[in-house]
Amino acid sequence: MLNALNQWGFEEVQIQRRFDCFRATSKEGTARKYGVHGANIFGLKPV
Amino acid sequence: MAVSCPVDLDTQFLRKEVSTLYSRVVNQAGGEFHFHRGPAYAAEFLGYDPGELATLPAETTGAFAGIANPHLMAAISAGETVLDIGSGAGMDLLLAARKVGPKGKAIGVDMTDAMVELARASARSLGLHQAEVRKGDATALPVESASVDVVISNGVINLVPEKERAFDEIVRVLKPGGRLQLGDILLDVELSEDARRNIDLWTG
Repeated sequence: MLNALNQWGFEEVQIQRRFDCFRATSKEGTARKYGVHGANIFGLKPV
Repeated sequence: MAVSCPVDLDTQFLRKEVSTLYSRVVNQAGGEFHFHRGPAYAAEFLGYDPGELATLPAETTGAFAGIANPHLMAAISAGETVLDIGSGAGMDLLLAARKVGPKGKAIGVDMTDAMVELARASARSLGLHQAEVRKGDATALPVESASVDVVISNGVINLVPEKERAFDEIVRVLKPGGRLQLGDILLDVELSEDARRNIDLWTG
């Protein structure tokens, strides 16, 4: 995702925070297997 | 990085599956799902302000199914135009509408009829006339080019098979200098081709 945002020309791309959003769900095991988590991802369109 | 769906995955079928799933979130709020929903989850897992959520209609917060919190990234200011891609039941949209105030605009776009109607009704009930919900999807946003200060989205882009088109659209609608405050799914490992063809891993 970060590569994609850079590829589309966004600047200052960064992950600001991660969230363990699948904890205590039926998909927790799959999420752990693939390292799946929610994230806040920021980018700026160039001026 | 592969950002698109495998060519032999039926994207129309995937889109329909996603729409059906999220219609069920509205119509069977207490049903069983593989993801958390609701205001308690949003506050405990994602850092939303429970007091702020308590002022929104319960139907909207109850159907919230986001996976991050775009509002934590940068302050949304009065007078700005915010676009929420995949606005769902409207929780993030309504929070944004309050922040932009009556001189700003908060536009929600969603492809699921039940979500569009719920978000519109919630905006009406709160008197948030600056909130507008349009039916559409991330690959063909019904929004004017270079008209948006902030694009937010929460757990939606990962569900879009044609991600290139979605990113093209985000770039198109943002003003120069505009912000993307994206809440979405990240993976620590690259998925195999087989895994990316597994539609259950797309829809959950």
